[in-house]
Amino acid sequence: MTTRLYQIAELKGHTDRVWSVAWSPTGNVLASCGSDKTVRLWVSNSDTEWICTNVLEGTHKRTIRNVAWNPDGRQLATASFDSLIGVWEQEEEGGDYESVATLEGHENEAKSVSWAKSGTLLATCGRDKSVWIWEVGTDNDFECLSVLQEHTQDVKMVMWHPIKEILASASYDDTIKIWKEDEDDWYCSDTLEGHESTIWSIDFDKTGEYLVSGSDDKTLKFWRCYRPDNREGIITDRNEPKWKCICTMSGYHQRCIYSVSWSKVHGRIASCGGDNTVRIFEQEESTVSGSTIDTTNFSMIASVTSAHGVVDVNCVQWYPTEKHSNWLATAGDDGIVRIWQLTEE
Amino acid sequence: MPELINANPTIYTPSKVSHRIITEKEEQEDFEDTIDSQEVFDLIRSISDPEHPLTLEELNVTQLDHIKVDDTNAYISIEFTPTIPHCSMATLIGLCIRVRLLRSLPERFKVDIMVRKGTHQSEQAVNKQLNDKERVAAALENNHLLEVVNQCLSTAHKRGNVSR
Amino acid sequence: MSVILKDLNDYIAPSQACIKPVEVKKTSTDNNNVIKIDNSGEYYEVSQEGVETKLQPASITLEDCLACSGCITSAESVLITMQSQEELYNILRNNKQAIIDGKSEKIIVVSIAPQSRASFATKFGLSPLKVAKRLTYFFKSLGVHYVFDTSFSQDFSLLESAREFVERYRKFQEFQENHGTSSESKLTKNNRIKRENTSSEDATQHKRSSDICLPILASSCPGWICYAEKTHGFVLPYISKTKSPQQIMGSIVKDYLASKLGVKPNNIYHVGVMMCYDKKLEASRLDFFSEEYQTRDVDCVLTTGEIVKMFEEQNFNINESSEMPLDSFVKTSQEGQLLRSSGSASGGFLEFILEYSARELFGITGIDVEKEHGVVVKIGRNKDFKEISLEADGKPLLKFASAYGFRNIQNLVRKIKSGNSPYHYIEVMACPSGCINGGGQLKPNESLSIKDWINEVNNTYRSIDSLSPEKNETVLNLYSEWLGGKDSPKCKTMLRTQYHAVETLTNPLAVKW
Repeated sequence: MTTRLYQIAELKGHTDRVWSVAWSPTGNVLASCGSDKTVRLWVSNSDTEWICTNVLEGTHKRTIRNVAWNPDGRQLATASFDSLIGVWEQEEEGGDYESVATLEGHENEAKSVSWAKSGTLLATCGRDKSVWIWEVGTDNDFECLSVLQEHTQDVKMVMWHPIKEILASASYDDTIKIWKEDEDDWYCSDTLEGHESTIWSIDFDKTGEYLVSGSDDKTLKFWRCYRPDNREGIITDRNEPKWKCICTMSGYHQRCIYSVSWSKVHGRIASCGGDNTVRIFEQEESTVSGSTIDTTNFSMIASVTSAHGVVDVNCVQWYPTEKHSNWLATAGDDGIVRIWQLTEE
Repeated sequence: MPELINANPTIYTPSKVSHRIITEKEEQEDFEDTIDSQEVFDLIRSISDPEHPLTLEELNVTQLDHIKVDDTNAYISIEFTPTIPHCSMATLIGLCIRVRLLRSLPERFKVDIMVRKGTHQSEQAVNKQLNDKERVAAALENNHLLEVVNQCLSTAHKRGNVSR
Repeated sequence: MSVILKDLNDYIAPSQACIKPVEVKKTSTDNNNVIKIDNSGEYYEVSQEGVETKLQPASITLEDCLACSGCITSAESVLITMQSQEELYNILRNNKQAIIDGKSEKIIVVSIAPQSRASFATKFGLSPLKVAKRLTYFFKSLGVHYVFDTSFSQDFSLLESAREFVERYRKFQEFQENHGTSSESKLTKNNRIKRENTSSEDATQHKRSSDICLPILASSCPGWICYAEKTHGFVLPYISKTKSPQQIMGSIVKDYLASKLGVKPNNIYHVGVMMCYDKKLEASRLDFFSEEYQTRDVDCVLTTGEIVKMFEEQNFNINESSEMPLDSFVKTSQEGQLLRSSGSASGGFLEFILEYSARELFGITGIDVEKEHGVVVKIGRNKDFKEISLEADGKPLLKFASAYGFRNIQNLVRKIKSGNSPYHYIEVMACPSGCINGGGQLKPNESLSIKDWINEVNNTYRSIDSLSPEKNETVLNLYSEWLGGKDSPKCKTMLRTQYHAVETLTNPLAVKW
């Protein structure tokens, strides 16, 4: 049996490089953003027929680098090179999206936004080396809870844990940091070292016990969270869980890896990058005394070369729910968004 | 004009390497050139230095021997030599080279631009920045910077035919 | 160096590389020389004959730093080299030589911040009074002539800040009445100014002259001032024009003391011992430099930690040191006990100004903010944001707040920009926990958490009795003797200052990307 990726749709509309795509929590809408300073929302009539229903523009004066839905799917946040974080809301079902707040604070390019599972916290990061945590108040009133400045370089991405209020950030300083709250402020509870260059992208698995990272060093690394007094005997300090790299995948991507996505439905991992490819990985299973357990080994099960022709693939995102869990969306330097289907034959 | 970073640069005689003779066939628009190091050198040799009315070739910043082209795999690597080892213009010069190639080469090419080993104090930092496409993209949205880059590139079309 | 920088508790990390273009002098005119870097990062010019000449690194002055918007932060690495104990040692050496040569020596004055004193006291297990007397001994045995404390000048700072607040509050009221809006509705208006139109609204809002801008924002934290000047020009009219305790001490030393001693200001060398690296930056501001005498009001600032390094260099053991009586410009009782001003260890600005203005504006006396008596205290979302209001019949008359640390400064700046700040006065400090936790303070032993350590230092600070600045006879006498009364023009030049928005970089060659 072989597993293959087929393109099922090509979404054209952006007039410049597309940096990011994001599925709404139900998967009904796909948002994309990029250098043309717009966010576009796409819905499908059938699997192959997609239309652009909304164009969100006007707020940002420069590239929109990243877009994220809040957990109830009613708001979108955008991070732009103009240093602002935009928050958008749909006025009514089927209506226009309105900019309801712009958050100032980053000194220069903002690069990533992420909503916590609860929807009450928003994290942002940027070239000013900082990670910001905002509290979402009533009436779109956002209050800065913390400005975390422990990265020594550009912070490329922030991503919340799928269940808990734990944040991960990936940086040009080659590290990933894990942030938690104590009684009064946020602090860095762990620094994940091992990559040899910029880390562009991170994603948790559905349990939040594993993390995948994609780097300019052309490798993917898988990390696992070990609690204090874990059975494996991994040493932890200050009573904090310790993240350890359990697997490094090298030799697959030939250039920088720009994006990784870990399916919360079936657990497969997708990655893409400057070598124009999209690759799919899976955690290997093994049987020990009759029961199946996850190993620390991962293997590639499918790939597409030239996913966006001769140009870089900037972002890959798994469809979020059961309905089309084998769908993937990708964004490319060619200004196109593509939808792919993973099939087994 | 603020003080110069390198007030007295060394000037070199332009290289004797012959310039490409462009055939009639090559001049036709739909002709897909195979790219070689001479072509890449010709594209960047006449970029002006940000601080001096001199080209990168005249300052020995770019040299034909420091350009590697693999046309089949659409890969180019370029090393350049800053005029002084602490030159704060190094990233800007690198940016000019990158932009020139972004604008002139077929988009299939992946380009790595690096400072020649041992010629700059913060070699790694410069290299990392020049090869981070997000940083480059953001830089090109800065009008002040873009203006300087365009200024430096305004002589790039001369492809070595600089008369003084 | 990196160790020192890492330990700084300042709110913005120093920028990695300075981008200010500087001039480099080439050593020879021979154009065929090559430049090479060795392993330690030094570079050399190599001539064709193979002769190597070491090249000088470019240097950046503090003034360069202040005038540049290239990085928001204070460049601590520059600060540490420009104002160091070496500088003080040099002055001391020159003085010894001057005595031998029969020339006149410089008068050396050291002014110690009470927060630094509390840090020493906690670290070495001594009372603040013992620390004061032993530091006096230490500095005088090195050749220093006077040792003062900035609790003394802080009283000027408090009195002047309170007077400024009352002035501005009254003008604000007047302005509101003439323009038909009550102050309350203006300060607490709820309509948020939204996105695109902010810039135009900003412009009209900030055309208002600074003497009617409320809230007043405290000015004694140089980290905050530097940040505001470099990134939030619109906020400058709100900042109190009163000089910080350090700089008022500078005025006292270089003006009053100089004339008392009959020496020129430039014949006095004035050293501040401070809790914070950014105080060095403050001392270097052109506003505090005398063109006429080519001298600064405070010549050199050393941090608490740098003084401990001096102890080591001088083989000085503070625990076994002799003591010397305190000099006159130290805030003490008649019995010689140290005194402080009531309120926070960041200077007590909020507390004093609220008590003073309650009396001056509303005739309310007898409130004690430190003891939370007569005011309503609300702790904010985090411990570094506190709201304190004066109420009458359940209605707020005055709303004050303290906002420490970068996160709270952020929310504050955004609220002021959108016209949503309900406050009349805000004590702003860049460091979480305020000045007691300044970047130049001593660190706890490994066993103690930072939180517990700060608590201890705070307790030490508060262990001495407080006295209202209005009861400090020496200060009141100086108001008339030195300044010629409370409203004299000299008060303005000696006690107040101004701020300057730093223009954004226009030199494209220096753009960091």
